[in-house]
Amino acid sequence: MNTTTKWMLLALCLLAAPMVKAQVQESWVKADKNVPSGVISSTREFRERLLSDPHRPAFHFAFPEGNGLPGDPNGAFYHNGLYHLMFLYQRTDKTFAWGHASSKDLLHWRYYPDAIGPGEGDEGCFSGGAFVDDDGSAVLSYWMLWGAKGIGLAKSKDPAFSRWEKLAANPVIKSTEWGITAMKDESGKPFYVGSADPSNIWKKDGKYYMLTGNLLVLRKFGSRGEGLPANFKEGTLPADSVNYQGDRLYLFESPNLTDWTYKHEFYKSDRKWTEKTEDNMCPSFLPLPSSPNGGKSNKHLLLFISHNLGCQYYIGDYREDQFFPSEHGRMTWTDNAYFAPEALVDDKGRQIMWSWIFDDRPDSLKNYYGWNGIYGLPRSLWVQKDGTLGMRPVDEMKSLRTNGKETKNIALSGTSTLFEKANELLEIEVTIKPGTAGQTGVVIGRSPDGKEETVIYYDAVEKKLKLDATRSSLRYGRRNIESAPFELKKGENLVLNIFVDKGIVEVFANDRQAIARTVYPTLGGTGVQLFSKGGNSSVLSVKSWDLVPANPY
Amino acid sequence: MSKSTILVTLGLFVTGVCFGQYDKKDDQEAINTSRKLRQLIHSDPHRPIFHFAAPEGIAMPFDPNGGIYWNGKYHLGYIYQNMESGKREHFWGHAVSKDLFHWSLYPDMLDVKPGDIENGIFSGGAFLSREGVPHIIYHGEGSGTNLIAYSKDKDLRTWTKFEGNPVLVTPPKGSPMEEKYKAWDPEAWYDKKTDHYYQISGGEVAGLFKSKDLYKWDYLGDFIDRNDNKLFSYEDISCPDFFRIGDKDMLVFISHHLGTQYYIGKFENDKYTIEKHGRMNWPGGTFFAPEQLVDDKGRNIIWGWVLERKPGALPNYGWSGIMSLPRVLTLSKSGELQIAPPEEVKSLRLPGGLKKKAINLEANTETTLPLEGTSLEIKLDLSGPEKSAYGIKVFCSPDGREETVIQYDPLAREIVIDFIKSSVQQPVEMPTHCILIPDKIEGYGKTTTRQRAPFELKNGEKLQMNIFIDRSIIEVFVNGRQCVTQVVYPTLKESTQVKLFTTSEPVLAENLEVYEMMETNAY
Repeated sequence: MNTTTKWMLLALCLLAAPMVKAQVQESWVKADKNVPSGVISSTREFRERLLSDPHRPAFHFAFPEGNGLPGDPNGAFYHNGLYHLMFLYQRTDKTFAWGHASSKDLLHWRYYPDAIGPGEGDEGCFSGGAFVDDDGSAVLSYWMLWGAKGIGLAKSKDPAFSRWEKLAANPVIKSTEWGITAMKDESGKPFYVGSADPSNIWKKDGKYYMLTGNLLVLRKFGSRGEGLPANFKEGTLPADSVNYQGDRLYLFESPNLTDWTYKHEFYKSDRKWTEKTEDNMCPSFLPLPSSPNGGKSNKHLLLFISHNLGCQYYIGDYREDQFFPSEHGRMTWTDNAYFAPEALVDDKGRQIMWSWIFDDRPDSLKNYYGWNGIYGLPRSLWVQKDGTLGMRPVDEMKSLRTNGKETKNIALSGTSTLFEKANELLEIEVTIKPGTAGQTGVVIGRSPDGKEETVIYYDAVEKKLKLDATRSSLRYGRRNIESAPFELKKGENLVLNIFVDKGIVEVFANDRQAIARTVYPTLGGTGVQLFSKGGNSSVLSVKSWDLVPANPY
Repeated sequence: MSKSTILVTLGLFVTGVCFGQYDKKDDQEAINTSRKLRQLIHSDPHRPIFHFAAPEGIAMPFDPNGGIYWNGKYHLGYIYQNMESGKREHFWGHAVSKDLFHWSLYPDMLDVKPGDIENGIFSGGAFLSREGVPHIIYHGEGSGTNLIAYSKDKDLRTWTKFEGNPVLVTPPKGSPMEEKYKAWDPEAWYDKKTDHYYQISGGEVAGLFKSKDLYKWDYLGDFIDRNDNKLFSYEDISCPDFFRIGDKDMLVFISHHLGTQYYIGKFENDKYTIEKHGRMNWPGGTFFAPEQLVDDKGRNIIWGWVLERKPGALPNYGWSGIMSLPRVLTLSKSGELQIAPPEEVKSLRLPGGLKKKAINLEANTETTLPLEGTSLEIKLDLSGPEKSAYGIKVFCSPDGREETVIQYDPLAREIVIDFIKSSVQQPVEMPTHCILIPDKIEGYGKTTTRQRAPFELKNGEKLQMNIFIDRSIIEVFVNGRQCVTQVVYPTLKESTQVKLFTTSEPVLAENLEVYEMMETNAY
């Protein structure tokens, strides 16, 4: 069957098979009446539909159902052997809730009832973080988006973290307008701080601390024309707009979790790192270990997004309630596709992060398959000896490997086919001596006719790690080239660790750079090639593994 | 307009036309419904967290079937009842795993398509053809036939029904073959030595068949001599699974009356000679419908469907169907059957846990352990008594109103699971049969409050218990050679304690380990 026929068949199926209708009834939801068989059929049919989606990942965290738009990972924490992760989704049109899942191995997730959702005065729980207090209870911090606007907190009610209760004191930081809290300084002069996207809470010397994001403050008081995030209306710019520009975070302090006092801006934004149009939202602030397996360093990591340029970070020193960044880096470059981050520190001291990645399928397909929302692989982050960020997939990923193969010593001057047909779920670890090649790397997802392929390579000329998705799909997706700064040291070999998972490809280079992109191949190609361009390179070793699925469906 | 924009626009247009037929509100309703059902199922206090359980709906029967290790993954089919057409249709779901515990659901392994002769997919097993292609043989429910399907897809997602179906038909009434055999729960394998396929077709009797090509099958006679089968006269031989274990050949099967049992013997020259018969289920228990596979490590692994005995008063959470833990079968040097959980189960232990080298337990005492829960692994060695019962109580409420007792009785030489107080509505009694009720079960009435499994400690041997409890299921592995499975339904929230107990003699408890277990079911 050729692809066009397949797509036409899909179209026909859509016409022929509307999904089973089944209404949610209070009686069966409370288990005091039998669940109607229509509910079971509908659920089963819905799962079959998820399973038929050629782009639904099998080992990247993917939403169990529904609309993760936005689908920020939120409320991540580790406690008593389990990783907990919350996922923001649209329960109905504009009422956001946090789904909740836990895992022992960061790969296999168990879904809980929603942790928090609309109700109790807030109409929609938006992005935020989690914190485990000394007594083992967990506290979620979230943005009360509509209703009583501001920052809300919710506390776990049982040791299994399956029930949560919002604080009666919510909002603990009240917005005076959407996402903004007006304050007055000692002289009575008004100023404005953000009351949106709270960070995880942390505790120091018996006091609690939390950061808030500045999107709405930037928009209103620092905004200046084109390129600004969601800048709908251009008003007259206030005289002090320079004081509100760029990425900023506001530090709040509390003795008891209910009463919060604004302290000051947490760090100084600098134009050598970020643009004045960039905001700071979805912040996560945690100590940074000295190795992928934990270990102490004296550095902290601040992960965040700007809405225009996506996920990025500062490494720096945290002292006297201030953060002093010494390094800035990005995790997405060409656009903002690698977006909202969330991180936790586990019992080994590892800092592990996820990120929500934009889903670029047309709405019709998102609606048809009934889900969207993908997270990047859990990345272990640490500070390297030179003060820059180290990153690699968590070791747990190795447990998905099966059918390992290895080939050694392939001289490359052009293209060499490794697999005509590889497994759909694939990991590749290739070590290349870059030689004289201008570009050298790996082609994945290649269709037999070569019409579709995704190219991952080191560009020695531009000193970049690149993922070329311009020919990843005949139909949709961003189809551009993602390009991350990356330079091999003298004598250093290129080590690429690549994960292919249906609708998403991820590459890690030499434990210090990474690219994750959604791709949407339509021809079912799984060919893998190695190549060099503009010179020769040699593959010292290429290992590959078929990966097994980890998502329950 | 760039070419790509045109393509996208065109794509949207094409799909837009289709979706025009498609009410978006219904989509949202389907999503909400799935989510609500998932959260409802999650909230069932009796749904196991690390025993594979059916994702939703009715799974009764829930036979594990078509188990095969293929290309680095375990594949397990399971019968469930698809009610979509308004009637009860038996289909096979399909789950895959690398580690035997975390399962990813695949589209159904086998279902009924218009034009098929069967009404449903009943019990059966997987085998490799002469060419090494995975095949499944199963009973075509409602058709009086056995059928075959195969998959050439390396991920085993798609199965094709065999061109030569049916491969066995129940002889019609009045034919000379009537009464000799019938087409029912089949098992098949390819024998390299004889370059032939064999088929066992179960039922009141088990017939043996042989084929060169899977198309034409010759009847060879009873696989198990109907006059000398060591069974009660009322028992059948269903869900057969026949495999090599050590240097012997083992048949694992059920009778619908008393559940799982086995023969160990030798299959030579088209004849199975039985050396031993044993049971894996006893009145009050529900270990049923076993399935076996051999993995890449050469392990013989079995699962069983553990029938639920949920009291009618408990609410319905929209699911049924519990699978036992996978169990590894081996033979000891002396040819005794050994049963153990697979080592992978250790990866489910949550950090922490309780460890105690030795505890001296006085006579007639109870000792509550400082770690409690409803999904636990408990491991310990017990020694001392020669005349009095001792053991462990699980799902105990602090006030003693609820508890389930697991004990060894050295005089009766039995492992006993006493569930009379397992729920607050007492006495708790469970049927002595599994599915079919015989006129009389020797030594039992219609119900019982205790499951009793024969077990005898050898001279100087300690009682080594490895117990898994998981919400409503208990599995007790004893000295690596016995395993007892029990469902219970504790209803008090606080029934989470674990106690060691003695009766008239003191007991030494050693090497105690208790772990909270992680959740492997997605909800």
